[in-house]
Amino acid sequence: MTLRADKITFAYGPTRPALRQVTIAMRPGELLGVIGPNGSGKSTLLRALAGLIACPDGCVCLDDAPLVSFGRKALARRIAFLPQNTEAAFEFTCEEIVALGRFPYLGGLGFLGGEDLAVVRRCMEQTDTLSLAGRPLGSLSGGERQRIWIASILAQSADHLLLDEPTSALDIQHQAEVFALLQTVSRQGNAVAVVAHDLNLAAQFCDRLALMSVGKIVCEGTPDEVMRLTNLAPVYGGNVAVATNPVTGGPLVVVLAAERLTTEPLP
Amino acid sequence: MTLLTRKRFYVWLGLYGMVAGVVVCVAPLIGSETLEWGRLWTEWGRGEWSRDLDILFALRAPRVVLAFLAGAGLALTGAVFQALLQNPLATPYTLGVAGGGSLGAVFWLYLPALVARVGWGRGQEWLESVRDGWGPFNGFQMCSMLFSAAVAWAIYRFSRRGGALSTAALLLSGVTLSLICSAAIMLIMYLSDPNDVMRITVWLMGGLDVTGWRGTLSVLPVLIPASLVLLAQAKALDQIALGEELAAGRGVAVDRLRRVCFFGGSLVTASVVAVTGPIGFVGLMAPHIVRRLTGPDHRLLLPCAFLGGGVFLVTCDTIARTAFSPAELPVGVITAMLGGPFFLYLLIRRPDLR
Repeated sequence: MTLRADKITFAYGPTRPALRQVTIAMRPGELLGVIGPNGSGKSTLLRALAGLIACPDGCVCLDDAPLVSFGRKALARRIAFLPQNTEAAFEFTCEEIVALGRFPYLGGLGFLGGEDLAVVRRCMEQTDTLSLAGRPLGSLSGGERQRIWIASILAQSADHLLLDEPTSALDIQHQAEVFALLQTVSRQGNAVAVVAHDLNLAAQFCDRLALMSVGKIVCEGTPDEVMRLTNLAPVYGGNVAVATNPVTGGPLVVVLAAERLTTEPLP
Repeated sequence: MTLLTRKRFYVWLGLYGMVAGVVVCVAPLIGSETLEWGRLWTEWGRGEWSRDLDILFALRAPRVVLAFLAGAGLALTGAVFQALLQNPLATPYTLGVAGGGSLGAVFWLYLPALVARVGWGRGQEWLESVRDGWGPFNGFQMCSMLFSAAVAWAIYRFSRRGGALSTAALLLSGVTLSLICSAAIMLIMYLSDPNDVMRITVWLMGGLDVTGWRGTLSVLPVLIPASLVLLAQAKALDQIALGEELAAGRGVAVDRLRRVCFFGGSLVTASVVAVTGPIGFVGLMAPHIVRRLTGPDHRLLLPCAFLGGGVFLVTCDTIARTAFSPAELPVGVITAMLGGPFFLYLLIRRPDLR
């Protein structure tokens, strides 16, 4: 019942490897945070897990069967993927956007049946967006819009959810809301993986963190295990400090100086 | 409730179908020659073929049906290209195939002069022998479609990036080839004598002058299958409107969809342009108007744009035939007179258009 990447390697060109021998597994009921500096391969890892890119080495497996052995729609019924900065080209209403998540289940002309409508409604309830149903997506605030997109991939009824920076461009309040929502979703038995830049939020809400640097997972474990100076300093440069969050008691990462942060390749 | 249920789909489709039926039936009855109904009926009853019946069934009916098919095909292709390129200002002519078709047609009109100029002795004979064409297509149409096919193939070759069709490259190579075709048309017009220039100019305005059914029927074998293929992509086009990665994650074969839409839309456009010339604005306006009425969901938008585009062009053509009767305006004038202001309205109302 898991989605697993086994020693996968991927390169965008002959000179730039994006993933190097990455092994990671998602678990049902767990919120996995993928963290790391820009360009460390987080988004690529998510794409590989979603089956959108073919890795020449290694294997991405769902329930021990390689992703390539699944049909496109069969895969979409198991794995839902929300890319970064998703936008709609036309003026869809919110409920239309959410209903489009039912695509892998539609046959023939693509009408929504009773069950589809019930799922759409349930997903909108869960994300607290029911009151927005008839409004055009463009008229929503950033936070509301992100909740709609999350509802739309929830409507895919997949048990694996992959979200690429769903909290970018949101204020702290809405960021926390999105993370809380993802936590709830994972508690319902889904395996959820989220790419995040805010280390403190990720540490606060995620059950497990994977720290990436230059195409590798350099550290993986509970937030307390990963959020240590010995792990973070080599990846983010030497200017970070880790303290104890006075409110939650968890780790708190602080950037000390405005010097240019470097990502040193690890051995 | 804006979601697409079976009931909503059939209600809208029924509505569009009814309007289309009424417009197509009524349009042939309107024209510069007033038909005398009493006489028409008695002659019909006696089985005589009169002048009025001739006007109705051999002149106006094929023209109205052609207008409907052309409008329907162009509007459908416009809606598909707008989704494919994720650009609300895309039209069936954006991807250059119409430019190729126009160049082919203009080249055909110039051929006799060219043959005379180069002094190819048997040339005129050969031209006579191919003038009638093959099957439902005459030589003129075949030449136009041949050029369309060549341009479509070139665009496709230029737009492949690492085995996949790139939308940006599609747009750029389409527009560029379109400009090259326009330049070639200008060259031909510069070289032609005034009579030919007049004919070329009139053709480039677009028109629905057909005599008899052959021209109308020649559109069908290409337009109908290609349109059905495009209509079948509706579900996937909804997904692609949300971005290619999201669509791919939902199980859409994005590259295959792009290829099918490009070639399907090109076939529809080529078959229409070969008969009617490049009639403008239907492919831009009709999808936008229909989208305002029925929403952006392509499962409903595509069939409704097909019917609505047909209704729009039949209406424009009826106005063109009757507004200054007995003189006829080029239908492109009417579509542009209605379409141009609408285009500007879109630009003003939607500053966010990309």
